[in-house]
Amino acid sequence: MGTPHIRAEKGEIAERILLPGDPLRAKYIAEKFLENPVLFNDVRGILGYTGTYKGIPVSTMGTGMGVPSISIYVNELIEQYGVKTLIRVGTCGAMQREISIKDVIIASGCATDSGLHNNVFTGDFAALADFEMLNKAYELSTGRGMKTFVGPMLTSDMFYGEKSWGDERWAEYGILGGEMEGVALYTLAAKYKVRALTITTVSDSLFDKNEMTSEEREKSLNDMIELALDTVIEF
Amino acid sequence: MSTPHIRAEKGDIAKGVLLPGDPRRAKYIADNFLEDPVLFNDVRGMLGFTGMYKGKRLSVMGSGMGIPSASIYISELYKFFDVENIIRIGTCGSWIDNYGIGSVFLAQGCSTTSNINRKIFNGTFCPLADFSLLRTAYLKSIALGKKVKVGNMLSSDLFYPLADDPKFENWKKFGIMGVEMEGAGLYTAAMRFKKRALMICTVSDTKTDERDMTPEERETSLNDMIELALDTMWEFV
Repeated sequence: MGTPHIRAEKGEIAERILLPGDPLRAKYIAEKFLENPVLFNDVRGILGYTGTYKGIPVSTMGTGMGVPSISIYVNELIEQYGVKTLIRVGTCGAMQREISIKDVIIASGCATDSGLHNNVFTGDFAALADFEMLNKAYELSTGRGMKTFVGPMLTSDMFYGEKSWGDERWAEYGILGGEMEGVALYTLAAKYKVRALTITTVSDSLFDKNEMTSEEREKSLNDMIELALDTVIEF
Repeated sequence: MSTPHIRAEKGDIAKGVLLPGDPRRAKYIADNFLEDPVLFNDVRGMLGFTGMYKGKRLSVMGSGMGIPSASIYISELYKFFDVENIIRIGTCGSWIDNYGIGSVFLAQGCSTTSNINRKIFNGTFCPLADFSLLRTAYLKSIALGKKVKVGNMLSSDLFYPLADDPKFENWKKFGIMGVEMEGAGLYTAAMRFKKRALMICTVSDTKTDERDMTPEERETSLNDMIELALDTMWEFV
């Protein structure tokens, strides 16, 4: 049995999962960090693996880019495969001057320009991280000396968009960075009463024109993955 | 120098302000928890006091009910009186079974039916507590042995709905713990002015409890919440 997008049997996916956007990053996580990783999905190239980390079963799978794509996978993982603890590990663009490339932003909540909440609420829904996971990730991150920011993230539909009214307001009101999936993960986690967190590394910034070397990219990615794994196994 | 709503000089208000909705609760806190409280405002009956708590100076003032009223005071406190930290302490309705009268919520973020952010953002904003205040309050609650729930609160404009809302049940379905009327306004203002804010709520009415709090109980039996707020604020002033 599988779903339209994940060809796996129940039981092949662990209750805890790391969700990068990029399926090749899922492969990287599996091969570098998990013990005995087994591929459970390659439908549409969205590679998913299950292995163990420090002896505890953990899965990792790509989500694709954007709210619509991640929503498909997160719905199926929760409803069909019983996943209970989800940590998105991604990249983001920094929107505040004091945040630099390689810094970590953990999203305590997500603002959005997506219409996913249309017709669901009579008002603005605050899409929030699971507090206990957020707190644990923050403690682990600062404990190992990673420069870490906790605060609001903007989940946007358009990587290449048009300039529009209100663009500058997000940063004015303290939004730390922008990415493209967080609000969907948090909204679905709230609906299904599971735990979710979004941890990102800053890959680009409006203010920091530096670029990471490939070694820096890999190291900062490794630090974030380890942080996510050490957090996820606590829940 | 004063503002239209607060007749005080800049130095009269401390860097940290506790903000109940009810000005009489501000007086209750000043009289029962602060040493040498001094009244700094009584314009429109919105009593504000400054005094000492465990050796540090802090203030307490009412905000009135609803985001529009609270936002006036919050903006003036942050912008004109250089307040750095506001902890709203309020009553709320609980939507969690067996979490009734006297129980405490820490609002990690606030959903809202208010229009305020629709005019500012081309999308859905996410009003959030300052993480350092939130985390401090959470750790203090553990140290004090006081159970709290941390999560999503709804800031509603209407205590008495004008009409039935067929989508209303979705707030609870998506994890909203309870409802009050000011939080989203406080958090939005704090984020705008790059200040700190936190909302701590205590349950005054539920759908399932035998009865609601009387006004006297509301006024006085909120001590757990008040102490948590004072001890948290103490770390930031």
